[in-house]
Amino acid sequence: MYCSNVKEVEAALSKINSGVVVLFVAEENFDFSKLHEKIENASIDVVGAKFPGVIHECKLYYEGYVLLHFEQEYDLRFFNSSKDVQELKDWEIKTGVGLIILDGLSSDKQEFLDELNYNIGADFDFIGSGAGSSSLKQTPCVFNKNGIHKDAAFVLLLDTTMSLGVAHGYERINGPIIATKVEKNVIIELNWETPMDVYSRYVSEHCGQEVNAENFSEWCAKYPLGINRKGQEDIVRDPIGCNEAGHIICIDEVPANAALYLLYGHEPGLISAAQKASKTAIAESKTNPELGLIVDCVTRVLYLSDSFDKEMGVIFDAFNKGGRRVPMSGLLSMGEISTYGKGRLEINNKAILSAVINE
Amino acid sequence: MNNDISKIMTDLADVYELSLSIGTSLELEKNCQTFYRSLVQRKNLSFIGVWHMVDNTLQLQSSFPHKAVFDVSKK
Repeated sequence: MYCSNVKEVEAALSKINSGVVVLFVAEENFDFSKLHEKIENASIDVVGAKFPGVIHECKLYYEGYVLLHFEQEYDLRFFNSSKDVQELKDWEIKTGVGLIILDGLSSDKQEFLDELNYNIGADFDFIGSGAGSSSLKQTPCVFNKNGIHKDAAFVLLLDTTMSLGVAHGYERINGPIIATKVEKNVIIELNWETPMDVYSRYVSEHCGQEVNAENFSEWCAKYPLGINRKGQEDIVRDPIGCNEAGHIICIDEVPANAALYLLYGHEPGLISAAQKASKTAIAESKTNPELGLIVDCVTRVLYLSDSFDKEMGVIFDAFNKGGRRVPMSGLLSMGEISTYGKGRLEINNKAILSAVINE
Repeated sequence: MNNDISKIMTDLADVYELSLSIGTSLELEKNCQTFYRSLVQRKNLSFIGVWHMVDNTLQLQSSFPHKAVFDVSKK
């Protein structure tokens, strides 16, 4: 359900007296203090987070709230810091679906996910997202009834099933290039050279134009880096800037000594990937679909611009083919969290997660 | 031919990364976990386990993720 203001959220919450509510909030004009008093008084568990945008049916909103109500049995844990990994054990739900929302600019994301994966990764299908602002400035963004926090996370385990499609549509054009020295999300050496020199050389070869520190931001959206994953699309790492030393800063962690590939994306490829992910999700859904959940990287909107409607359109068509009706909600993410099959719980960039959650 | 070379390059690069992910800690379990996490990611695996034969019994010594259902330890 989409609510355009706090009053509508309050009215919706007053009608719910069981289960758990998850709120995705678009960042524009969001004032937590106004929402806080409404959720504090709710009779049910309410958690949520702020995102660059929210999706309801085919529409993208930069202001407002998407409210998800789950009536299944659930286990909800809120972590004021994603360093609180010792509390990731002893869950009441033993198998099902896990929804993870965490601060997209927290430096401990991958460790948190690894620990969660280690403890219960084999028993759950996960979907999730990094929260935060598209300005890339870290602000408090994950909330519950007690307040809104930086570096926070919540994990909601639901006793249900889910089918998931994960895709990005970017293709390899060069590589491998070894990340010979990294510090979390900063690449300090590529192929034993200054990363900016290597990156600009490879991108220039493809686009035929000079790429340097000054125009880096114009090119990095089109040319992200990929990490190999057997039998699947590469895991994308999104370069968001370079520093004076020529190091490349990515939005998420790059593994030390990993082979990276230069990727290139174009509009038809990206839209086709969204369609493929949604078709996979709906094809694998075995029971009655309750919700189509979309986690769409904010950079895809920036890149596709006006054509983003086409992406929403192909997802809607895939979900609602042949008279079937699947309600669709989602968000613009700051890092897409999922497992590929039963593999490692992973943060992706520039990807779209298309999930069908069953009743 | 190009695809073959590309596959060989990818495999070599993966093996390079995996080889360097061993020995990051002197603590055996931590050392194993670092390696498992790289291997699980690169090869898209569901589970990795190391079993040790003790008195004719296979015992799961170390795994990623931690999960008893995969523990096929037996005599």
